[in-house]
Order: sequence, then structure tokens, then C-alpha cells
Amino acid sequence: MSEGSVAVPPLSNRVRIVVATSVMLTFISYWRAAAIVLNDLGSSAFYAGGIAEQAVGKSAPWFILGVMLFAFAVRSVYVESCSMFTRGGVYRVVKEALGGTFAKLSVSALMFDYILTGPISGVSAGQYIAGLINELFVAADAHGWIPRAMHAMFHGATPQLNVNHAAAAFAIIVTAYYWWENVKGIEESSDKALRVMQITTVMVVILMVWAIYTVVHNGSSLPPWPIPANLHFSDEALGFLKHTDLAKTFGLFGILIAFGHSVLAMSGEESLAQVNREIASPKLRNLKRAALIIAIFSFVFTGIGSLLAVMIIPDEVRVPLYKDNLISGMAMYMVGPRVLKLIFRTFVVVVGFLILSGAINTSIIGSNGVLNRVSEDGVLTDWFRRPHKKFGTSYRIINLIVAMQLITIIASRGDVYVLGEAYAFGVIWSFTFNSLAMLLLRFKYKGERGWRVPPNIKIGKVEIPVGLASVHLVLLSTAIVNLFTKEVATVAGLVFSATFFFVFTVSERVNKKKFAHAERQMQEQFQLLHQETIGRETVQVRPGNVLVAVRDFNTLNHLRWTLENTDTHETDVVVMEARLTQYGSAVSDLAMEQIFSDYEQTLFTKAVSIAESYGKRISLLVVPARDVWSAIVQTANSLESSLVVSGLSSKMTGEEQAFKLGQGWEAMPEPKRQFVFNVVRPDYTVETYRIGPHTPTMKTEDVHLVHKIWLDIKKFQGTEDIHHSDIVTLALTRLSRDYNLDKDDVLKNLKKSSRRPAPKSSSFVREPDTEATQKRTDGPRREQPMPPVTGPR
Amino acid sequence: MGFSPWKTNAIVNSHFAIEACMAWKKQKLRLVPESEADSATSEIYAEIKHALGIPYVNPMFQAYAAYPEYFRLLWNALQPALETREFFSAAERIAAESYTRVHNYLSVPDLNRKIQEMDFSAGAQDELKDVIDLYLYNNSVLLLICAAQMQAFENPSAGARPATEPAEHPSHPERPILVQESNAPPETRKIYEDIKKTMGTPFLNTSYINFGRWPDFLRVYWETVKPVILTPLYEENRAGIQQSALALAAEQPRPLPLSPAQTEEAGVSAGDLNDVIQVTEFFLQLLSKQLLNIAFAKIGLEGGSHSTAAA
Repeated sequence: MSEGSVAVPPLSNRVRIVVATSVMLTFISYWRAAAIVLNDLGSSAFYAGGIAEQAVGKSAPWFILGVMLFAFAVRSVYVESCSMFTRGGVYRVVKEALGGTFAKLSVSALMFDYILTGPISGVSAGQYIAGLINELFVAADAHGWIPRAMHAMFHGATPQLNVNHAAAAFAIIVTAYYWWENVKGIEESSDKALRVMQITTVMVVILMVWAIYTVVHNGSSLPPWPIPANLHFSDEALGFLKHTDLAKTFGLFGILIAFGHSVLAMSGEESLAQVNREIASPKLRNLKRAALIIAIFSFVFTGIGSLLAVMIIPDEVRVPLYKDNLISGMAMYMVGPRVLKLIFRTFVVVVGFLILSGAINTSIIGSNGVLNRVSEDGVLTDWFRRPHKKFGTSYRIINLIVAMQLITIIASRGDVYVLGEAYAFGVIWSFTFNSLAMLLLRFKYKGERGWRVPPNIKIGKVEIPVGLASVHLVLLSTAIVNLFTKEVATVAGLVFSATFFFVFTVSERVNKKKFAHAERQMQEQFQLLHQETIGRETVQVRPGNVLVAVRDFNTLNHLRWTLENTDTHETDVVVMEARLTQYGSAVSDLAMEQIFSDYEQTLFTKAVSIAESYGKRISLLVVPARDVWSAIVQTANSLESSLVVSGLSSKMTGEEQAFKLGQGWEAMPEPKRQFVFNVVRPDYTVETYRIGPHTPTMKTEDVHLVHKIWLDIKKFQGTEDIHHSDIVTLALTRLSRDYNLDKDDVLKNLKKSSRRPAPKSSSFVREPDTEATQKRTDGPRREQPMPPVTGPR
Repeated sequence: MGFSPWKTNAIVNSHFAIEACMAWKKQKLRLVPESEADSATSEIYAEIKHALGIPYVNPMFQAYAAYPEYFRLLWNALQPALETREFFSAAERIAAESYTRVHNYLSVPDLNRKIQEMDFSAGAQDELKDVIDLYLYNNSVLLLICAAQMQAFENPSAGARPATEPAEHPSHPERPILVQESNAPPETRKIYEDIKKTMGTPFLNTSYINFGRWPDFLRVYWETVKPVILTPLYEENRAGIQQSALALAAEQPRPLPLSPAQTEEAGVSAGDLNDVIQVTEFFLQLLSKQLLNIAFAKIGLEGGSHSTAAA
């Protein structure tokens, strides 16, 4: 049994339910994992340099570079956290180490971070677009392409947009768009993240090569070194300390202030923990690879990029004109023809739009995920989680998040600097809480760790986590310094976090009372057994069992059909519910109350009463999953099920259900078993499919054709050893060759010979409808005999 | 015709008609489902399915099957008519007219957008569109059969004329997935009840039991079509479809030999005949409504009455 699992002594009148605490995932490569994180982390390259320079002066890029180097250390804390496999998300990790109050505070800070990601990304993207439009207006005016009427509107001057207002308007439009997409239920895809990162990489490579050439060509000098004498803080950058000389008097303090103003360059780092559980095996090695890719990419793009920007863009225009669209400024001051620079700037804006608008979406998804998680933890009342009537999404949480984001955008009036300063508050405090939790867990958590932040010094029996403690101290001191130097951020962050903390505390109390009652009821009926992973032994079933996937307690006809047609003395029946979890909930294992809710209680009560009405025994299983289909195939594989039964979906055909299951089967790592999939329709007729590679059902005429060819071949001498299978092998080899030579022609012919092809290529086959499959009395099918290979029978 | 309680060629107020016939329906309208049919009836059911190219037996035939003598007589009379091309082209015209009426006179929302929002898969969308085509075809044929019977009861003198053979009509071998009331989830059952109450029928037409396979679609569809059903404009169009069906039935080259005298000769009792006429009038009204409702669904799935695709 896993760490922290609860062994409940069996009671005779309670039904045993195995609750899997590990989320069943579809695994992704480390490249994809890195792409997901970089979509968030990489977006800060578009605004971090400008914000830092406004705060600390021309030596800001060195601090950005320093932050990017320090990000290696912060990332290593996350790698250690990921390698621990402790139960729960950020909230649970901190709760385990620091208790409930700190956990709620850390989630409040994290929410501040997440919610501000949207506005800062949206406004920044708007700044890039508005800047480009203004540049195009200037170019058009130089060629006399602007009509007089338009000049008149701008009192004879070149038409120019108010960049801040235009950026705010853009951010509002994009946020509203993603609000609607999220209410409808957006499908997340690592493909999209990978594609965006591929395009971004192309841009980064061009940017770096061209920028280095420009620097060499122009003989540009490096920015002033990051020493106290070179720090020029603005009044806003000193916040509450603006009337003191502390920054100048204590050099190190000044450096810490500057570092604090650059810290938002590593925002998005926390996404690594979110994708960790989805990384394919070997997990730790791939996690480290992903972390290395992220580190190199962000160091080059954000760190080196900011440095080159200061070297290329002249001082007189860098802050006044390009502070909020630094990369556009770089494009305009490269060596080369103006048209080429304008084209590249347009490309930069397109990439910026893709990555920054994606970050708005990520912020809504991330915030929704975090609030859903704390809601599942009982820290928010169920009211927030109530699903949308039509789309089934947690629309109330989404509305709340987007409303806060829109208010933030309007309040900022499109000023990236204000947003960036506030954003840093959430970033630094969530990192600080996490590192503190990890530090304390070094002493409290004695379980296995895949990796530890180095260096660690052993004194006697005690190990001193020097590396981890150092990282935490740097984060903590930066966070404290930020409290005094970021006036707006401190006030906004404290008000925001206090509000969230208050809401969490009140909700938790309300929920505790409610849950205590539900728990009592549940424990009277069910005995819940936690298992980290699912196996035949844990569920106590024999091989060749029937797995029945259930979801809606109003549509359990397929369970009735299964029980009607299965002798449970010979074949075990497992009733399984895949509990869908939110994005981010795969960070760590889930707790019982997160998985087994009131809904599961009702569902399993109904399932048990149906089984009782047939006088048959069933095993119950709850599996948390990100994808239902993957969860079903993985469970069927683990339980060695020979048959999976499902009801007919009200949104897709049985054939499409089988196709989805087939896709899940294909994505599953070896070893994997084939099984039969039955879709029971509401009228009790059954569609039968075989999942996994299988001997195809051959038409009688095809069998005869093979036999006819074989008979013909047999007329010739020396063909004694040729069998029917050799003919099929040759035919397939030739088909494969033809397919490689001319795919279209082969596909055309295949389509012609098949009236109703299965959707795309599939790893399932539909068994032909027969009288038997259409009758209610049809029993669960077993593996079909192999088709004849020695002649038609 | 002294035995007819309602004059079929007059536009009757449907609400009055529903109230007036509800008591009769409760007492008299009995259906013989396929699973409960005796061998002779089952044989006729199979022949009907084959002749019409549909995979199920509509409640209309199940209602006639409650009068075995008449049912046998009806099927014998109907077979020659179903062999003519004119019969099915008349049914096609009825279906086209109902589509045009709904498109031109009623406001149909974009149901296609709604099912997209509901995340219906491509296969589910195709399946839904296929069954709607099936019901549009089937209901128009059934309405014509009802109208032909009514013509036979009221104008028995019409003689046979030359006809074109063989008949050409679509074939729908795929049996639709039906969610009977007993198997339906509570939400769907509630909608079923509302449909029966609104349509004034003690049973559900096959199309609705089929739509129950997509509960979200059924809900949206019924929410949009129900207010339309209750409008005078809808009733006017329903009566128009019924009139057209009666007129097209009168033009058929092979009228049904089902005059009161002929049915009496064949051994159908006067009481049964009276009931059969009431059943026919009831289905004449119901099927003309059904056609409008199905056309409504079809236009809705084509993007609604404001879409160019539906024009």
C-alpha cells in the first residue's frame, strides 16, 4: 500500500471500492513538456527587459541574466519537488510542510501570479501590435499613402494610436475571447504548444544571429556592469523607500532591489510542476532534460535577448519608444534594409501575439485548475464548481477569474510596467512558499526522493540542505525587499491575497461541516481502499474479467446488460468510473475526498443496487484521469480484462467511441493486451469491436480468392511448400510497396472498396452485425477464432 | 358520411380536436408493438418494412394492427399502390412542401451551431441528419397512405388509371437507436411526457424516441419547436399539408379499394370501421404535424431558416 494510504478494516455490510489515487495520464515527450513550460516562461521575454530597465536603469540586462541563472536553482527545487511524489498539488505540499494557513496563503499568492499573467500578457501583446501599427503609419505617411481626411483627424500629424489604450482594448478583446472558449470547454493540446514553440524558435534563431551580427558590425558596447554605482532607480522602483538613501548606502541592498525588479523574468517556472506527471518514462531523466531545454532556451531568449536589446537600440529611443516592445525595437535597429526589418518586426509581433495570447489562455486554465483543486480539497465551496448547464465547465470560477483580469486590465490602463511590478509579487511569493515547504519537507518527509538540490553537507546523521536553503534565502530576501520597493504590488498583492485568504478560510469552514455529514454517510455504505496504482491483485479479480465503464447514474443499461449476460462465478465484473481531473491536478497524487465525491457515492450506490437486483457480485473502482479513453485502456490492461463494456455516448457514434479507445490503446506503452469492446445501445443492442492489432475479419469472397490463387499456383512444380498465408504475405508486401510509391492511388482504391470506412486509421475493427449482436440475449463476446489459413471452410 | 365524427376536409381547430379526441384515444387507440404481434401480423409488418424500405414499423400501422381484419385488407389494398412510382413521387412532393412551408413561414433557429457547441462528433452529426431524412421520407409516405384511405372512405367511386412501375424510393436499412420511455433517463422522460401532452398523443412517435438517443439535442430541439407548434401559423400550415396530401391521394393512379361497402364485404364490422376512420383522421392530423416538426429539425440542422444553405 502506498505512503499515506488508509487501511480500513473490512466491515461485512459495506461495499469495497478501490480508489486509485494516481491520475491516469497520456504521456508526453520531454520536448512537449518543455514546450508547454516555455509557452509560459518564454512569454516574459517580451516584457521583462523593458520593465527591469525602467526600474533600475541600463544595467538591467545583467540582472535579467542573473535571474535566468538563478532560475536554474529555482528549477532544481521544482525538480526535487516533482521527484518526491507527495500527495496533492501546491496547496497540499505546502499544507503538509507548513500547515493549512500557510497553504492558503501560498495558494492566494499563486492565484495573484496566475491572474496577473493574463493581463500582462494581453497588454504586452497589444503593445507590440499597436507599436507595429504606429510604425506602419509612419512608413505609409513617408510614402504619402495616408489620406488627407485621416491626417485631419490627427490635426495634420501622422496618425498614431494611443499605445496603452489600444493595448488595453486588445487585451480585453482577447481575454473575452478566451473567457468564452474556456466556458465552452477548450481542449488542451501539447501539439499547439509545440507548434508555437517551433515558430518561436525560428524567430529566436533569426533574432540572435542578426542581433549578434549587428553588434559586431556596429561595434556596440556592453551595458554598464551591475555594480551599485551604475544603478539608477526610478521613484516607482524604490516604492516605500523612495525618501531614504538605503539603496545607495548599502550596495548589496541596491543589488537586491534590482534583482527583485527583474525576478518576473522567471515567471512561468511553476508550470514545470504541472506537466511533470505527464512526462513519459524514464521520468526523472526526461524531467531533467526538459528542465535543461527550458533553462537554455529562456537564458538565451530572455537573458541574452535583453542584453542584446540594450546594446542595439539607442538609449534615446529604447525606454521612451520601445520599453514595452523591446524585441520590436531590436528588429528596427538591426543592420539591413528597412523593408526587411519591418517584415521581421511583423514576424516578431505575430510570434508575440501567439505566445502572449496563449499565455492569457494558460492563465485562465491555470487559475481555473488551481481553484478547482482547492475546491476539491474542500477549501472552496461546491458553489464555485457547479458545472455550466450546457458545457459542463466550472463557469463560475472562470467568470470570477476573467472578471478579475478585466478589472486589472482596465485599472492598469494598458501600462505594462504597473502590471509587471504587481505580477512580480505573486511570482516571488509563490516561489518563496514552495521553497520553504521543500526545505521543511527535507526534515519532515522521510520517503524516497528521486533527486535533491545540491549541495548537501552531512554532519553526523543530519544532512544540511545547503543548496535548498540558499535558494530559499535568496527568494525570501528578494520577496521581503520587494515588499518595500514595490508599492503598487505590495498593496494590490496584500489586498488580493487577504481577500482570497478570507474567502478560502470561510469556505473551508462551511465545507468542513458539510463534508463531515457526507463522510459519515459514505463510510456507512462504502469501504474505500486507496491504491496508488491499479492491478488485478488490488481489485481482487481474475484475468479475463469484464470491465464496465460507467459515468452517468441515469444511464446504466450497459451494466444491466453485462450482468444479465455474465456468469459472475466464472467471470468477474469490474465497474469503473474515470473521474476527470483538471489541468494541473496531475502534479501529484490525489486525496480520497478529491476523488470520491457525492457524485461517485450516488453512482456506485446505483451500480450496487443494480448488481443486487441480479444477485451478482461486482467490484468497484474509481480512477482519476485526464483522458477517459486512456484511463479505460490502461485499466483494462492492468486488470487483464478481456472485455470492456460501455454505454453508447450521446455525443458520438459507437464506432467513434471504439476509435478513441483504439487511439488510447496505441498511445499506451508496452506490454499491452488486446481486448473486445462492446458498446451497449439504449435499446440493448450491441456493437462489438476488437481493440488492438487483430486478425481482420475476411470476406468469404476474399478467402475464396486466396484459395483460388493457391490452387492455381499448386499446378506448378516446386510449390509444395507454398501456403495460403504466403499468398497473403506477398499481397501485403506488394500493397505496402505500392502504398509507399503512390499513397493517393492506394487510398482511392481502398475507399472505393469500402463503403463506410472507419474514421481515419484505427486500431479497432467492428465485427459484422448479426442477428446475435442485435439480440438482447447476446452474451459478452470472447476472442474470435482465427480465420482459416489452409483453404475456405 | 354519417359515421365520421370529424369532417376531414375542413380545417378544424387543432386544440379543440385534441381535447375532443383525447378521451377517445385513451379508450380506443391501442398499438400492437412488433414484439407483441402474432405471426400473421408480424408477416405483414415485415412486408411493410420491406415495401417502404424502413427498418421499423411506425405506430400508425401498429394502431391499424389492433383491427386485424381491416389491417389485412388495408395491406392488400395498399400493395398495388406502393408498386407505383407516382405514389412515392407524391410523397416526395408532400415532404418538399412541408420543408418549404417551414422554411418560408416559420422561424427556425440554427440547431447546427447548437450541436457544434454541444461537441457532437462528426459521426453523431451525420447519424442525426440521416435519421431526419428517414423520418421526412417515412412520414410523408405514411401521410399519403392515411390520405389515400380517407379518400377511399369519402370518395369511393375513383377508378384505377395507368401507372409507372416499378416504384423508386429510398431505403434505410440501418435501424435507428430508440430510447424507449422505460429506458430513458428522468430528464428525457420529462421531455417525452411534454411531447405527448403537446402533440395530444398517448404514445411517442418513433422520431422522438430516436432523438432521445441524443438527450441534449432533444432538449434543445423540443425547446425551440414547442412554442412554434402552439401558434396559429403552425396550425394553418399543418392544415395546408393535410389538404395537399388529400389532393395528391385523390390523383393516385391506384386508389385504395376501401370504401365502406368494400370493407363491410370483407368482414370488417361497422364498429371497427368507425374506429378505423377515427384512427385514420387522428393520424392524418398527427402525421401532418410530424412532417412539419421533422422539416423544422432538418432546416435547423442546415443552419436555420435564415441560413442560405436551408433555402
